[in-house]
Amino acid sequence: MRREVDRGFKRLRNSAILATVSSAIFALLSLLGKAAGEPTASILAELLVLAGLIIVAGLAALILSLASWIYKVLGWSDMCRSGIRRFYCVTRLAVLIGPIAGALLILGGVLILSLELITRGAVTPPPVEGYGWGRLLTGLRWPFLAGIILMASANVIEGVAILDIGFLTQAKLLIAGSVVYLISAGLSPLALLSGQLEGLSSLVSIAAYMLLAAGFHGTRWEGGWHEAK
Amino acid sequence: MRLSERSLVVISVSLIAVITVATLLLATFRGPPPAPGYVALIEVRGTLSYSQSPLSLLGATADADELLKLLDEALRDDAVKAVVLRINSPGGSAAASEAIYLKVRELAASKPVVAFIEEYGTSGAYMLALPAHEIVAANSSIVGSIGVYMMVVTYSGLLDKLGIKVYIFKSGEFKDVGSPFREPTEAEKRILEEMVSEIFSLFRERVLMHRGDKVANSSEVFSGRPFTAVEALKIGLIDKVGTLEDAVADAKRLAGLPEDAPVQELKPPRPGLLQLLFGQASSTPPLIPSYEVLTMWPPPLTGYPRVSRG
Repeated sequence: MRREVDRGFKRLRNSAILATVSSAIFALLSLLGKAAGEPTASILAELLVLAGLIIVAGLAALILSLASWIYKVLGWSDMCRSGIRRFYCVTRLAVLIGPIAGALLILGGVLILSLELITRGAVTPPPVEGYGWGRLLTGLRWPFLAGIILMASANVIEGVAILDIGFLTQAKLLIAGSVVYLISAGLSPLALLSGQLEGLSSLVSIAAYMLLAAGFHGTRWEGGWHEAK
Repeated sequence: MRLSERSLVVISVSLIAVITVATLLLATFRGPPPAPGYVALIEVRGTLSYSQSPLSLLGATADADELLKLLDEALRDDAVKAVVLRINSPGGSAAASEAIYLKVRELAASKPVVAFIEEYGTSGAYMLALPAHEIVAANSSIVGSIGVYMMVVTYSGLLDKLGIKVYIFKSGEFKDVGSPFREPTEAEKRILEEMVSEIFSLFRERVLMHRGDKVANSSEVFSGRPFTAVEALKIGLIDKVGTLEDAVADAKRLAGLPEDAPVQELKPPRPGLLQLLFGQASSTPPLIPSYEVLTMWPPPLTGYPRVSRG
């Protein structure tokens, strides 16, 4: 059991490290994209170079995210196999299925909107109505929304599982990291939908991953797990 | 502190429920409208152009689609009692200027509109200010430049020197009028001159329609020259030299709003992930026309030939 737990911690730590790096790259790319602003003829060449860099960095971040996700699934598989908690098996299932199903649903949303645009013969963005945040959300499709919620749910389940590990091992960094991770899980759908809190959401998720990486790195299995069962 | 399996499930389900409800609420949230009776401020900044136009390469552009949406929003929103257009634009594509002009005219027919020219309000940008009930210009702004010009640049001499030959197969004599690969014929020059005259007539008619009773010296007004705000006031192109605050105060007065009535800037929404995913689709091919009808002064710096109103 101890071997599985140690291996699980190690993999979850690696997952958090990779997620920190990929989140930081995505946040930087987002900042860079906003700073670039409107293209002008005079800096067109520089923009092309910038676009190339963004694509390369984006791909790198994507690969890192994928690697992080694989580590995460393997880590929770180890935790499930340790037999400490059945909830860790639920967590494994959530982190495995949540992102896949979420991504498929989001792609479905994109597909539906694309088909609508094609059948309407229009290339203009969907119409906006209402005020404040609401006006940003017109044109939203339910599959997209379901995808976002599903991904957030997977993160919530994982956050609660990490919180549990933090309590069981008395690891303060893990407890803090899981709380920040849960905040990040709640914040990310709001940021995605509103387009207003992207910076804050990125910062919170980077902070959460850093805390989790440090927490899993410093946490050891010291026995006492049986008490949890 | 140790949590039971049941507690973990309950906590997870509760948090997921909270997030789901918050997300759904946000997704359907339309928010309360702004306070009743306010002045909407809409910025018209940069070269007027549709977002997919090649003009967007010329620098900061005011996307006509976004502007039209904002003007439409101001038109439909009953809480908007008056509109101030804050203009700093040299004009732009004729199509974009025309579309915005028509929308401003529609807006001005239903509620007071005051145009404030901050720095540049020339050519197409001046045209869109015409339907306003009042045109205010900043002291050091440049106004006017009403007229049409066409610029056709040909590369035939350069292509000859490089030994490049261009063959054009056309269905009609004038199908490639304005081609940069050869000198225009006399007949083509006449066609292009007629186009210039026709577009100018339209512009002139609009100026006379909206400011016919105010424009003092039409020959100078329609000479195509730009004017300082003070000169523009003298010849009747504008109603007042003033500040943005003056324009806002006048808009409130025209709408019968109290002096402390709120002013709210209408802005296009910042692109979020949804817009990035769904909103930027385009089927416009990356072609640059050999010339394009512009309503712009000063003229653009790019070398390709175009027809301009300016």
